[in-house]
Amino acid sequence: MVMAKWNNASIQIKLTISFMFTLIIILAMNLFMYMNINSMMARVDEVYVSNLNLNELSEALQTLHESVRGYLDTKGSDALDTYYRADQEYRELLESLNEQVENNPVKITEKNIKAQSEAYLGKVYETVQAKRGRNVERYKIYYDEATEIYGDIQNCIYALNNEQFKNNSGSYMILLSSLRYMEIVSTVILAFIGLINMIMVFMLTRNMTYPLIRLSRAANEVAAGNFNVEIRNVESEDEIGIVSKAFQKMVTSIQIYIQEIKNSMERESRMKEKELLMESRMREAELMTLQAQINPHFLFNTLNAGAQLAMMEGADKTTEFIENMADFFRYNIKKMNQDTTIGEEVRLVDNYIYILNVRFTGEIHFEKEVDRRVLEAKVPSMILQPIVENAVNYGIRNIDREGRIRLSVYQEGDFIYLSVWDNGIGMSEEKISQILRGELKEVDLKSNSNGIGLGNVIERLKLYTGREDVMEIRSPGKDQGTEFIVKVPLYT
Amino acid sequence: MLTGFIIMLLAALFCAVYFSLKMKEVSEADTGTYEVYDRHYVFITDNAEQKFWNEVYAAVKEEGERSNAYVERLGENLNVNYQTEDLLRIAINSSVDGIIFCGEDNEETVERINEAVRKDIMVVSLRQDIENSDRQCFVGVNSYDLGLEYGKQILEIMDSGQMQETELSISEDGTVLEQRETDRQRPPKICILEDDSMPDSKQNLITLAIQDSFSEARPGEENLPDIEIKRIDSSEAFSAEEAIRDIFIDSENLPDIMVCLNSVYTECTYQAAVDYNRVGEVKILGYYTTDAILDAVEKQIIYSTMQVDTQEIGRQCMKALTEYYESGYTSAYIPISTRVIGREEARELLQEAEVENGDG
Repeated sequence: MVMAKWNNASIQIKLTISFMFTLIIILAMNLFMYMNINSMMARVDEVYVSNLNLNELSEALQTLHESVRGYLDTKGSDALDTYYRADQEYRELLESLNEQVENNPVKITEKNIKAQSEAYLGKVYETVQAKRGRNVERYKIYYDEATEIYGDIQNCIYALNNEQFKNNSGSYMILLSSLRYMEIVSTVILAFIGLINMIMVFMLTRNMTYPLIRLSRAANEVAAGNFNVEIRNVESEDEIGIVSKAFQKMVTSIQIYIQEIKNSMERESRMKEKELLMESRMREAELMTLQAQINPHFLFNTLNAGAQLAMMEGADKTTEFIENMADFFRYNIKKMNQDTTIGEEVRLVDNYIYILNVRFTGEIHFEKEVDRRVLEAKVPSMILQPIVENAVNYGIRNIDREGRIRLSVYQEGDFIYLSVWDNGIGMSEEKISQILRGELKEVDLKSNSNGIGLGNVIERLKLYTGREDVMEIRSPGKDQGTEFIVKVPLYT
Repeated sequence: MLTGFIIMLLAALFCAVYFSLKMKEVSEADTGTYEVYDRHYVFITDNAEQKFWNEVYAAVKEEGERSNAYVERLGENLNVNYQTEDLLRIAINSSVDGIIFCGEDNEETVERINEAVRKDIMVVSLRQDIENSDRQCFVGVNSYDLGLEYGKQILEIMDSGQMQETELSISEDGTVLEQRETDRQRPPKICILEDDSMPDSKQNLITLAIQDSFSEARPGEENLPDIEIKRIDSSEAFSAEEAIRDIFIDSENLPDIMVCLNSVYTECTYQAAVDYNRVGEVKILGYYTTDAILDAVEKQIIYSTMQVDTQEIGRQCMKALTEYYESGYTSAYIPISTRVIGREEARELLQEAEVENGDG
């Protein structure tokens, strides 16, 4: 309980309590010893007081006796006054003397002195009274007797003084040795407490610095790149405990953060990969275009020159034809590496169909149904024309009946659907799935195509939309036609 | 950490307790504990025979404590060598409850004792009665009985045939030519060493008792011992030793038997006998049983000695004082018995003392 509280206390409180405690103990010890030694010293001072008192008593007795003598000599009122005062003073001093019967030589002598003093005072009084009554014979006798008692008392006081001095010297020696003893003991105890104090401070500081050292080690490890550090045994709730826990939390969140960065980098690199792939596909399409039409610019300029020539000769159909051709190729040059709109794609299909119809003398019946609202929607370029080309080349080329192609552009929900339908030979399921997986070789297409195959279109659409269901191919059966439906999200 | 605190607290506590005990010890040593008594008696003796009086005082003090009275040995601590009568004055002026006194029987003493009795201070005289005083009680050995005991011892010596005379023929240059021991024809010469302060009556009683014992044992015999009483002036210090040596120096008149009536005379006589090579020649009858005397008895340097029971003296003194204090009356004389210590008894006593010392 106490230990738990202690562990939870802050360093400030721990330090304060430790130092206060030791300080208070040492102070209390010092105070206690100081008081004891002081009272001892006071006793040492008092040791010889009893001797001094006896000396005082002896002197007072002497004064009294001298004052009596003085009065007997002079019978003066001053002398009488002195006698009374001396008598009073001596009586007062007698008060402090013992009057009980005790088996202590000092006390019993005190009792004797007191009794004799009373006898003496009585005798002295009688002497003075006799002197006053001029009883010469009497006062001389009384005085002699008083003097005798005076001598006895002085001797007793002297003996008592000696006795007390002997006792006091004994007490003095005891006090002195006790003092010396106490000095040694107190020094030893103080040193002991000091030692314990030092050990405590050592333990306390070690308890404080050890977690710091562990923390710095952990920090060094983190700095070296090892994030899997764990600071164990953080029990205390003090500042260091808090720091240790915060550090642990920090390391954990750094780990999480690093993981996140890793993930996002991975995502980014995947994106980049996708972009690169798309670009490479585009380059591939471009390359194919270049391979097919060695120099589109040259071809395009040539075609324009042909159109001008035809116009000058008044061959309107030729002019139109050549212009359509020029438009078709220009589009190829211009739009290959950038997005375009559905409207442009549709126009390209128009150009293409016109050209084909000129080539094949209107064999292809082309219909189109376009939702005008979606004409401005963005799509990758060159997606519609290859599909139409495919429909022409594989769908209706070799059929006996009239070939028809229908282009529909419409919107359903969030998607735009670009549908190319033909009434050609149709397509087997196997072939459909081959096309959709991009496994169909397109080598044989090259003679009559602009070089961009369906596989390329599907690939680019997938990369562009990020979806897999970009194309659907429907064919009810042999000679029942084929429908290619491109599905593009509306806001891409 | 907690242990540290606890150790420090314990150390501090230990220190506090130690200091408190030490202080208490010192203050007890300082004041001491003494008992309070009802009555205050003083014990006054002269300076002679300190050993004997020490024992008596110890006994009286012990007895006093039993009856709640403190007995002070007056004069012990005083620097001035007071006479016993001066000590009586101090005791009277100190208003004590009783005085146990052994001192010179003189006029001043009698006066002082009477003064004390007037002031309701009871006086018990010890060993030597102050006859003409108003003292309430006398505790001591009956002189006549003591004389009879000595008489018996002397007869014993005479009967044992130890009374021989050595006749020496000495040549001119001082060498002993012939030594003859003959049975004594003349009556033995007895010397009684007495304190000058001892009243005549007591001396007479002792002398009478010795003579009585002779006439009783040997009725009609003419050869009665010649008893000489040697009075020793005890008023001057060391006078006893000098006076006794004088007796030995006067070898012509050296007594056959010397009766010593106190322990100091006994020790002096035996020392002189040894010093003057008169051991065996002079029969010493001693008084009291100090270790030295017992030792001498065992070696037969001293023929025999008288044992006085100091415990009994103490008991009887205190009994008289208590009796008087309680009832106002007490016996005027309490006798103390004596016992003759010969060689065997001395040996026993010495052994006992040895055992006691060993135990102690």
